Amino acid sequence: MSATSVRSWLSCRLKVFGDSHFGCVYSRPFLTSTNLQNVQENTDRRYVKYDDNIVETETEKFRVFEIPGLKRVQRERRTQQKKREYEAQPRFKQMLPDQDWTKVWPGPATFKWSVVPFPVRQGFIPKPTIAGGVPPGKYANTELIKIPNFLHLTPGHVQQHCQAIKKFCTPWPAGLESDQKCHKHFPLEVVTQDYCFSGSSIRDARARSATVQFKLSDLDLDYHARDKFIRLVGPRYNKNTDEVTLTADRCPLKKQNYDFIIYLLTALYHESWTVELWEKEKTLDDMEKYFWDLNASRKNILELLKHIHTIEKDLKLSPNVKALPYLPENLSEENLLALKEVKSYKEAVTDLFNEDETKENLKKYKEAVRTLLNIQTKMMSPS
Amino acid sequence: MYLAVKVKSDLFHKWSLLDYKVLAAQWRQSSRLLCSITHQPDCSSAFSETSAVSLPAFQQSNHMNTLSEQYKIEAQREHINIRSIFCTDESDPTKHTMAHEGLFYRVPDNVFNSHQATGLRKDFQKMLKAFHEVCIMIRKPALEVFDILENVNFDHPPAKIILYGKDGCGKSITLAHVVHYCYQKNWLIVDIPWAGHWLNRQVEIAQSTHNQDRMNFPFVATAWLQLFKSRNLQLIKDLTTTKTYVWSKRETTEEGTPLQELIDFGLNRQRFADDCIGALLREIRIRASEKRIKVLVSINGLNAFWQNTTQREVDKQLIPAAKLTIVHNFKKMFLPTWNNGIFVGTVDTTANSFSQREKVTPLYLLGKEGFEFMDPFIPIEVSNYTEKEVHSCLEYYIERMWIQNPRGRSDDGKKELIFLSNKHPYELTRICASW
Repeated sequence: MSATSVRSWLSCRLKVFGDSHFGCVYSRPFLTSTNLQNVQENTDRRYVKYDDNIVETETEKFRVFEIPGLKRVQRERRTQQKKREYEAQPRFKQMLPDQDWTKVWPGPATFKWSVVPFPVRQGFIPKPTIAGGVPPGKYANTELIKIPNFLHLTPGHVQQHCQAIKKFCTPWPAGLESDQKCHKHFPLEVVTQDYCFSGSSIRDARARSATVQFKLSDLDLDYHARDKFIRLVGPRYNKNTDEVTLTADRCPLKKQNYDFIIYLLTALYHESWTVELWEKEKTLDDMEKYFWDLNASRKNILELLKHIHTIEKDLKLSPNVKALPYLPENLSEENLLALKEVKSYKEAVTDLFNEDETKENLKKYKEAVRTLLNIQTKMMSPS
Repeated sequence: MYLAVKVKSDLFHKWSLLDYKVLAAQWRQSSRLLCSITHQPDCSSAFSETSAVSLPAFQQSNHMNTLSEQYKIEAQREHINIRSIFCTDESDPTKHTMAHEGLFYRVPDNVFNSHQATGLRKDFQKMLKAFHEVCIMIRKPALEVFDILENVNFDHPPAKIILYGKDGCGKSITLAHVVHYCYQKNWLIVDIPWAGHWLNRQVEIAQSTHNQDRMNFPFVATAWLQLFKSRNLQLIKDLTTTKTYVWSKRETTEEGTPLQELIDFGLNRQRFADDCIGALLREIRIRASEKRIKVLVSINGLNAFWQNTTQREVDKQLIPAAKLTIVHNFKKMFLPTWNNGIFVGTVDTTANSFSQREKVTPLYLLGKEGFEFMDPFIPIEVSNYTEKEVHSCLEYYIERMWIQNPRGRSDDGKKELIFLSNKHPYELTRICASW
């Protein structure tokens, strides 16, 4: 790049920068209390018209009818020629604070700035210097028109609706006062949908589906049956809430789909209780959780304890110098498994596998190992 | 974050007006003045008015606010070198007690070079070079291990201790401390400085001569034999083999051969080095059970034993570590078939493959198979520095000129360093390196 071209490029850059900087009305970098008034004067009228924050000082003067041609009028300059048109005052200016809002806004309607009596702002401002740094008010605000509103569902409206339909209601059945009682008498929750609209057909394909929800604990299942049930329903079982959700939409009618779900539930229940021959081939990897009694940990511990016992026998120690004083003479498996130390160890290992490796579980495991091997230490373990 | 700390500190507003050089000069002056104040307690109030640095702890020394103030006060009151506050003269780890917790001790250079250096991080070793000395902090996990070593029953099968904790918290250094302890007690040290190193190296592999299913890493095996020989030659010189080992038709090791010769055989005949390790470990187990030696088995990165190597078999499958002869032989050290030994090891995320580094806990890192093989073991967590340890460490870094910036030497700077590192030992060294 030659020197001339650099200069021209620079001047061009500077010019553009200067234009954008000085041509912009909102270029003040800091907005303080002293120059706030100036900013508001400079801001676009459409942002601040009917803004509740701005007090209108102009009062409507009484208009005098002037006969055209009677009085010589000075021609106004071209820029001032465009007169402001008379605008009717918006409705919210005449509203009383104790009016009946349900009469003003009887049904669902798009947002109308002239009817809503409270200040509301919505929208994006590209710079904090524009319009005093606040989002646009309600006047001609398309953002407020776009979004749904609930001005037709105020407490007053709801109360009126309730009053209107009260005559169709029956009293709440006795004995179903609480959620627990409802759940006890009606453990199945059936969800169906109806669709109502004006059209050439009153049918809707979506109305055929049916859903049944229930708590798994309400079914009479043992450990095996419960495990099998959970495996059979798969993702339809929610572990956190203990709920099963069965949905069907395979048949053309709602009743047929509901019947199918009830059939499915019956089949699932009875299938869960049956034990097939191949279920005996379940390996450790297929287990739903860690069972200490089936795993290598149990074998390790029993062997270790027996080994220590033989060592101490060989050393011919007297019973009060024995390293593991809790070991019984008869080292049968039942005797060893019934020991308090072994039990706490089993619990600690099971927790490590089935729950997470939390600090508490690891500490519990450490303490269990220490008691099992009877390692006496002077120091407390660091918490 | 950095700015937030600065603005938060009360003194920043005063200090921001000053040049750093002026500040450094003032700092030096104030510390000199402080020394004189301890002699003349009446002047302390006058000093605090004139000085830019407010030191409330010196005006009312009964109410000490921070540990760093306490350090300074003690140093000045006792008229001693500040080094004695964070360092102990007791360089024998067998005499370390809870009273020494949080203090540094100096490791003799010969012990460090022969027994500890191999397993530690490269950047840690570089730092030690800059310090011109090897100092290890005496921390609670190491003291806990010593406590167990003193109280465990050596007639029983070897107890297993596994250190775990976040990366950079000092598991390897704690292990080095334990190794020094056992060295001091004259125990035989059978250690793997970093087990992950065995798996990740692209070296020659060969089929085992002893068992067709296993693979040999002859170079790794000879390197380990060399390491073992250099460390324990004095301890094994009286030991002999208890059995005749037949290596091939012409090569045998007769019963009653010194163990040193067995090692030399492995070093000369690389083909049999892996099986030679097996024979050596077997002899060690037998001799330990006879109470002739006490054995420390220490493995850094134990979880590597249940991982895959980076080498592939003929059918393109990765070779699992369990198929390696050396790993198989070392695993026998965990079986309850011998006694008069103990195992201390670490589990580390970096010894696992990249997909298995989410947690630092022993069960996750070892896996179900590894856990069941090792259990019952005593897990000991090595965590971040405590309040005392971090101050001790900062004082040491200042003394060793690892922290050179005057701001880093001030109370505020220390607070900022502690906040930035969250007392994580490795993070602290890295952050301090730029101060």
